Amino acid sequence: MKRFFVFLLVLAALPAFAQSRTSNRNPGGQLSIGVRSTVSLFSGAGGAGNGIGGQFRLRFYDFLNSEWFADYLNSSVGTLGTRTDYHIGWSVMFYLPGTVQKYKHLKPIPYFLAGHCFDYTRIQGNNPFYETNSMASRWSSAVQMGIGMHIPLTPKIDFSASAQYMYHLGEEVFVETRTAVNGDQYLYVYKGAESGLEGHLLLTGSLNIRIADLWHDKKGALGNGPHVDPDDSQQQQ
Amino acid sequence: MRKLILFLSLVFPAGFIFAQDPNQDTGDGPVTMNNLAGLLRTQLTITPAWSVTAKSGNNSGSIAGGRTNVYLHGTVEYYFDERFSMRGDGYYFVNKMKTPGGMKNNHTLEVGGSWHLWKGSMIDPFIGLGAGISYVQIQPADITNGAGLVLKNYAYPAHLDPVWGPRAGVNFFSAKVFHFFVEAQYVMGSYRPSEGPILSLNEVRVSAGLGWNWVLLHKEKTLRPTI
Repeated sequence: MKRFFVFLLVLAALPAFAQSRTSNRNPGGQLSIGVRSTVSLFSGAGGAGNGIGGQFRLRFYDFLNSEWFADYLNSSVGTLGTRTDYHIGWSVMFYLPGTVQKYKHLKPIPYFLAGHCFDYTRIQGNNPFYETNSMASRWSSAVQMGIGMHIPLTPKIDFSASAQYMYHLGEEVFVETRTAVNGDQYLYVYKGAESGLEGHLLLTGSLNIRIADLWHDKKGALGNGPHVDPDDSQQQQ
Repeated sequence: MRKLILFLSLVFPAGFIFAQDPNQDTGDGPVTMNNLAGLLRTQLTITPAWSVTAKSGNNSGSIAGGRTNVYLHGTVEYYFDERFSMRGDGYYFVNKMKTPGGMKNNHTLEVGGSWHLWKGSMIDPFIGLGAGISYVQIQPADITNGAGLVLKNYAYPAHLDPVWGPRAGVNFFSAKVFHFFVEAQYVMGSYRPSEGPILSLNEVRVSAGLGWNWVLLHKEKTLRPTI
């Protein structure tokens, strides 16, 4: 009997998928690719750094977008070492209601973002005389949250800026500046016995271009920008 | 009478030479740009660069040490509309320093965008932003520690370092097939090798010269004959 009710529930849900494709005029399915540059601040075991990366975006609905990214970041550990981070992850972007359908050239579109990331970190001292315990690396997973905005440059291209705080969970890597008996300073790097949290603030600027509409929305197929009202765009053509 | 016929038969047909509509692009005469949308702009030039002594970490200094660096600079830029274009840039470092610790490699690949300030003009001032990655290495040098030990001719490793910077310039589209340009970019970054000193890569790169136009789309809108 229970199975029958489950079957009825599934059957009742089917009409949700019965809408005509032509009535779907939202920008869902739009695929964008982009390049990004990131500044890393307040890192636990390093100073400010910068990075380069790429991303693609797949938009699900008017108000929901996703960003899949990979970054390569370099930071200095004082003058004695370097921290290198490789990020690969994704974020979901939520737009404020009422802001996404009204396209206006250069008008910022704000959004919240949250997501997950996997990170490989390597910290290395740069003094070749002191190579014992001068390098440590780790894998970690992270969550990130932040805010951002798109600035539409053309109906297909936008510049996006975001600020997000990323929290890494992984083996702790400690860095000490030590002084040798001859006065040399060097970096002593070692891993802790336990896992711990470490975070940093990431400021990202990216340039994105829309290349496809995977849902093949008849009203909006590539004719509308990520934030263009489909009707306006149709009228322009 | 024969002379009159000969004169008329030569002069009248010759008049048709001047009867062509000067506003039509025959493909022969000079043509200039009045709409940049759909234009692919390319250039290859020699670019001098002057380093800016800046702080990198706690270290003050620049990788070029006050010397003028020279690059081979290539650009491919596409105008999506009259206001916005995307571009890719490559810089190949030419004048390697031979002295120990001098710059050996500093090649850069960049992607960026430009915002064009004027529409419908042959003069095209723009501002932009670029970000990319540099392949950097310095020449082998001796390293001495506090106890007087020397690592002779130590080979510093090459490193990939992210760079970015704002850019400003002007293009002058004087003809159908080529244009003149001058631009400057302030490149910012740090050389952070796994072994060796951290150095600033900050410098101002100035490019100027002749570029080539490739009109791929919207040809009828992009070209305007002048003769």
